[in-house]
Amino acid sequence: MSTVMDTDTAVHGAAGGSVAITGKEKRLLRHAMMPHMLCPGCGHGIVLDAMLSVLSERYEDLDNVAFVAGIGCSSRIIGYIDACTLHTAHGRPLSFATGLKLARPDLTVVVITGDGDGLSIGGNHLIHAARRNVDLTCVLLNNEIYGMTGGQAAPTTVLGAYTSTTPLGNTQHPFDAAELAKAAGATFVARSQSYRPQVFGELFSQALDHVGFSFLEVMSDCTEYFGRTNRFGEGADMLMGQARYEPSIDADLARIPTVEPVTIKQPVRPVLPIGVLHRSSRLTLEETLGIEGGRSSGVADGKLDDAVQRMDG
Amino acid sequence: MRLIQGNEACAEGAIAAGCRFFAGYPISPSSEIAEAMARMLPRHGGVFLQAEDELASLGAVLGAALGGTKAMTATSGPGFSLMQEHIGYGYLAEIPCVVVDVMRGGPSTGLPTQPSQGDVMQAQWGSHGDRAAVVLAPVGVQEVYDLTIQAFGLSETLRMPVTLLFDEVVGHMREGVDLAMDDPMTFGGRPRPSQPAGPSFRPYKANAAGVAELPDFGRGYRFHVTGLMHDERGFPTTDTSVVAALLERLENKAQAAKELVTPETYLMDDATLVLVAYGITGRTAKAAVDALRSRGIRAGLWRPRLLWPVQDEMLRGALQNAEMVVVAEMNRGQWAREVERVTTGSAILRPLLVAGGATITTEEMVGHVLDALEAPGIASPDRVSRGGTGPYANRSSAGAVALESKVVE
Amino acid sequence: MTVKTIDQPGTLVEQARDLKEANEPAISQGNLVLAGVGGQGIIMASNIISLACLESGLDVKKSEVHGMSQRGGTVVSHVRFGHEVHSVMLEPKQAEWIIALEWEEGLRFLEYLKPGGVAFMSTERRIPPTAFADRLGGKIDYALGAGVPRGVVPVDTYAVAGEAAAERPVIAQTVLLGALSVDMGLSQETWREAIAATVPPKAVQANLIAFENGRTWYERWKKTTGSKLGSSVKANDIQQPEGVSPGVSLGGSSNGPSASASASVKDWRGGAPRIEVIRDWCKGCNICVIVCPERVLSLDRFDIVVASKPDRCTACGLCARLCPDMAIEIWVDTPAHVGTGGE
Ligand SMILES: Cc1ncc(C[n+]2csc(CCOP(=O)(O)OP(=O)(O)O)c2C)c(N)n1
Ligand code: SF4
Ligand code: SF4
Ligand code: SF4
Ligand SMILES: [Mg+2]
Repeated sequence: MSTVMDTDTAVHGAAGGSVAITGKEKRLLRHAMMPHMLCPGCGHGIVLDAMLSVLSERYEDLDNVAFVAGIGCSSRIIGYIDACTLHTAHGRPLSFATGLKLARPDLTVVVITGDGDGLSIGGNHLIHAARRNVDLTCVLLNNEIYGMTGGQAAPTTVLGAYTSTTPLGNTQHPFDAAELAKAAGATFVARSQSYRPQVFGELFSQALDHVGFSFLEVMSDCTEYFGRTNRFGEGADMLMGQARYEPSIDADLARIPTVEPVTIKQPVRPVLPIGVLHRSSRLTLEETLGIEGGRSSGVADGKLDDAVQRMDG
Repeated sequence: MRLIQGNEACAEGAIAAGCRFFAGYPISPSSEIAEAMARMLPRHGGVFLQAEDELASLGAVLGAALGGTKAMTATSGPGFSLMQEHIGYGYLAEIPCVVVDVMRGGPSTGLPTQPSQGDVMQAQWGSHGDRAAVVLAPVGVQEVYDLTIQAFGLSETLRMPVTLLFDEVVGHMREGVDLAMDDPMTFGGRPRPSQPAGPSFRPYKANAAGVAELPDFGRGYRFHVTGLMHDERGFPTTDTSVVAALLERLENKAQAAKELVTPETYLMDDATLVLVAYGITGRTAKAAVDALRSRGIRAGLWRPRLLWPVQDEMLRGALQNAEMVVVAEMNRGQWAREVERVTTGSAILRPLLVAGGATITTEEMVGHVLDALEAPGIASPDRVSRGGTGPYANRSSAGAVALESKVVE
Repeated sequence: MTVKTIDQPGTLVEQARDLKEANEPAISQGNLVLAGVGGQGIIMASNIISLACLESGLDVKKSEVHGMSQRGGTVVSHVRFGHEVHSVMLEPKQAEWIIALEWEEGLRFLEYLKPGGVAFMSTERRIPPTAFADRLGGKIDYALGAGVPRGVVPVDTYAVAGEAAAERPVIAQTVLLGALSVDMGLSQETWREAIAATVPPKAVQANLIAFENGRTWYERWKKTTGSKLGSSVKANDIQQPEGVSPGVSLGGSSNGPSASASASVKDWRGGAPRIEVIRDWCKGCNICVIVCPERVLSLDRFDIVVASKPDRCTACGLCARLCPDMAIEIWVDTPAHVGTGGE
């Protein structure tokens, strides 16, 4: 942990001038695109900044980091990163990213998705990317709603919550995204919050380091719709509301508390564990395919011939 | 010369064209393409991925293509429907790739193992919005091989998805094929950026041919690719004039395919009766031309290899001396509409439309033509569409009233 | 009690000796400020001091001020003792001693130090609160090149605690108490009993060791570095006694800064932090206004953020990190005379 603190809080700059305590990450922004399109107080912006902070510590430039996103407010954040950025179709970023990664294993590929994008329309791709253990880092910004389309219920919306499509309160049970990814075979699973950029930074760093499919869920706030509709207050209130995760945080970022029961009468956003929730190791898709340096090294020729013979009967 | 299946020829053609990534989801009657790619790609240093569905297949193909690889997927009707959103994406974002649709009977799960030419309109109009498609239709196994290579050439040069459309019969037919590789580079290949990387780099600035000079990912250029309407920088825009110009450019560049793909013409010089047919139907039509000629009818064949964009000028030129045009296709009238559009007023149109899972035989074609020449209302085989209320129902053997009233002068 | 305006940090002891010679009790009254962040053991430390005073027959009053309710927020405690104490709260320049378990917090409360007083400040640094799982910190990670403010004794508490530091974080406070005990003059036994009565039973042993280490370290420090205080202190002058690693981390530069000391907080910090707002990017969401622990920021009539109390800023960076629009940057001016050795 302290390593992250050291880097994140490092005072950098030359002697005898001004040194930036924060703001160093801005060199990785596409300034021509700023200010960004997110609503005031939107948690996604905090995550973008936190992500850039980590990246600015790790990389000089992002020439070899590709960001792939779906459709949604969350997915939009990649447009502000000065890298190779691929804003795909709703729910499909993991498919594009898988192809890109297999064609170009030399690239670091980061997928940004939303709870609607990654769990609803793209849920199938998520579980299969996890199953294959393709070496990607998938960051899912969970604001418990469909922000971009105006605040409809998402597969993460808790029971009882009000959205534009659940005027009487949500009647469908939500997904636990991290558990889903874990069950599907992701080899690194973590959860973080927009409220704690530092923790996010640490987990994002670990996810980037991890070889295999790493899944990082970030609890974020949709101030415009989820906050308003459910009277959770303004951006700052929602952000502070994330302090409810406090009991779930442990120094080693790995303790798992019990989830509080939720009644349908009253939307209670659950307390979900924060931190690294799962870590395991198994062959990556690249390894099973025998891919090296952008090209498949090929299965040993003999083996393939055998296989072909077997199939040809 | 090798005796291989149409589907295998497609895989062979892809490998010859330099395709090194394939992602697909099993579906009859296209699965052999995936199976062949699974066997061949590792030997050529490529990657085969069996995806979780067709959306994932084409998504992965587009991702791989942006990484700089030539990539392909293959499917059939239901999967082709699922791919439509991504086809539009690849078109707008200008990502080259080849999508093979081995047609089967539809709609819905339809006739999984029987041929059809029912996806012709889908291939052009299946994806939402205004989009120009480039769609090739091979007639047999050799042409599957050749046109697969050509499809890659076109998709790379024009930076867009190109569809290869054939049917179950062509896919499963075995023929001796000459696997000599056409030079895939005759097309010039994928345009590369002529501007240096840097803040002023404009990935979507078009070259003289109207094609964006997009770099591959991770090659020193940092840029944004999106399915939103975008400006030359690749950044989202809603500026109506920018969007209109983008749509126009994309449509125009696709027109280049018209010059690059030639139709097959057979005995067209003096033909007054022209059979228009494509894909497997084009074969039968050729035999029908011979049969009709032997009966003294000056028949000819015009077989497009490029279904979209329609080679209007060529087709109009070819049909200008025709007195009767018979479009034969295994659907309830799809390409026939295009022929009608192109030939307005110049000839009697007598489409021969067969939907239901059977191919059209030579005899049927000949009979249809003879009927049409004699008089309206003469019976033709049952499965030739004539009743009903379909758009062409009354234009086949049963009547052709509407058209006739339009064309008789 | 007379307090000399002193240049030597050891003077309180000397003064005590003087007083003793004058037949007065060694310590008859005194004031302390203990500062740190939540969870560091400030309250426990002030309890120990209070207990030790009570046991020594003195009247004690103690206040506790918690800043933000979140873990990691500022916690400050005032302790006043004497034969009779009335008011509990201290005013600036009234404290003979400051115990700071966190460097920044120490700096913030330095204004309470009496001229000639001593501030025992841990060089541990923790980033303030709310946004972070914990104020997990490192040591101060910038050069102490501009000098340590007058009266400050920087202590690398974990290094001084030695093996006892395994018990962190509750150990750091007893290290500082050990140092304090040298100057405060209550009997060793009283201190030890107060510690044993306050800390959790299983931590008693470690805390007593830490206390002892702190005491020895400070005695040696006074003989070496401390004797130079009052003229000028350079960070690399702050020698650690043998067997104890340096009390001050010198940031990235192994040569250490070469600047001469000047002794005000401002100079030490390298000037007040500068808050830069990109007005075009700010969307007036108010997050920064609420999260700033020092209430530095507010929204102007255009609903754009302004630094209305910039001098309160501690450069914690919280506002910038939690601004969804990246509209705030925090800068710190480094005085021109601070150089890094290699350049
Ligand atoms: C195929 C398709 N269906 C629906 C949409 C409309 N749509 C755009 S974004 C979105 C939901 C995004 O929700 P989420 O992924 O949670 O992102 P958020 O905006 O909440 O960050 C939907 C339904 C679409 N673009 N494409
Ligand atoms: S709609 Fe919600 S998720 Fe989207 S930008 Fe606004 S606050 Fe953020
Ligand atoms: S203005 Fe920002 S940096 Fe300064 S104290 Fe407040 S939150 Fe911290
Ligand atoms: S957090 Fe950022 S956007 Fe919100 S008021 Fe502060 S500076 Fe403005
Ligand atoms: Mg959402």
